[in-house]
Amino acid sequence: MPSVISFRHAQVSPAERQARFTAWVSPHLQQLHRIAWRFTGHSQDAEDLVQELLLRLYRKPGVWDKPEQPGIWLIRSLHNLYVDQWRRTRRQPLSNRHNLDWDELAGMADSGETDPERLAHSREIQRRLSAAMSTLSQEQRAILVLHDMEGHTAGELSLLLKLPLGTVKSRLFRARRQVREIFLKHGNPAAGFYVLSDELEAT
Amino acid sequence: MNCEISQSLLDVPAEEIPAAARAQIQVHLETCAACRTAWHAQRLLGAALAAVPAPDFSEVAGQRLLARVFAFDTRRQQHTMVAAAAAAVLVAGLVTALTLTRYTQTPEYVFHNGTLILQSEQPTTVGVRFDSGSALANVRFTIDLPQGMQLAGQPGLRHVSWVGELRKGQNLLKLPVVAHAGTHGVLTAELSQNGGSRRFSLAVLASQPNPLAVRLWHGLTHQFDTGT
Repeated sequence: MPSVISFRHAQVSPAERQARFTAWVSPHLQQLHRIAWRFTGHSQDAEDLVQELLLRLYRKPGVWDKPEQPGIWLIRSLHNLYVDQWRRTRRQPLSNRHNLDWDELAGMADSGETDPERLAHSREIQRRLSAAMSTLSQEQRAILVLHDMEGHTAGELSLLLKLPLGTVKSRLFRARRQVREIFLKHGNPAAGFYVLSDELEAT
Repeated sequence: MNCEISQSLLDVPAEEIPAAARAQIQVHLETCAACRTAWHAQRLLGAALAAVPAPDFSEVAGQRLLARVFAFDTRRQQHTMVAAAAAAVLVAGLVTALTLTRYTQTPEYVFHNGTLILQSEQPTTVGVRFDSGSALANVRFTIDLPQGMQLAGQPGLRHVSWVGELRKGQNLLKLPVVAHAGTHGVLTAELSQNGGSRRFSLAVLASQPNPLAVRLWHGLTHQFDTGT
């Protein structure tokens, strides 16, 4: 029985392979980076996570050029990498690293906001959210990000992540409860909510 | 509905709460200030989560990221090749034969008088077998198809090259091709490693379906050596 030479997986020149991979993944890079940033809470970690995902995929061309819905497939792969593998390779526990990059965030949150006091309040809310989310497990955090930040429903996440609906719901329920409790425990909730309410109205 | 039930639903996603329960919650909130505050806070918290900004990731940043991915991959391949070179043997002396082999039960092509005969416009997977006296890593395979022939599903693609490995013994390459009527040329397969190479060539002819060719398939010996 002869060995089969893998032709399909490497039928193109390196330059063409790079071009195909670039064309395939480029439309999804911004979304991947945004989700990775929300998973990790840090720009450099987000880039590292996406880079590792792309490197793994690029080495398996027979895998990455198959999915019919690459966007969904990429989010699932990113989620799996983040939850299952990425954390183990980090030198520090994520909970110690999970602080928003404030200088960077300030530049984004500043859009039109010039009042230092309001900005401080805004940062305080973000800090408390960040602190609350840092207490979540990787699984809970990922579900919360995809549901409450990215806008997917529990049913969509069940299909997207290939997880039982009950698992998605229970992770989400626990994540939301934990974030709410931690968020309320830090600082003055009423003040925070009023400021937040103003911000929402302002936007 | 009481406060306990109302607040137990705080962390359930809105889309998961049945409409009837939502209506009951609404009624309850109209009379219960504590639950109203809790639900308002939860709504704001959800809005705050949704409003968390994310850094912009520009097209340029994406290109830089991809460039790093490709550079990492290239370095890994170079490292592998250097490691393998010490024990590598020239492919020229080891790959002894290129052999056409029947890949499917359907006689989609025949080999007659040194020529591969294909049915025109018919996607066909040609089985090409390389016999190697030893396992070889980092072998560059280069296939060139004659004018009029292309890889099936890859319009116009007549040249492919990749790095792979050969196992000791028989190695089968499944080559999906399609040829236009009138194609008459030479298919070449070159295997190279460490500066040595071996080149095989095969005459190709595409014709209309021919019952004689089908019969020939069963009567011909398929193995041949076209090594040069």
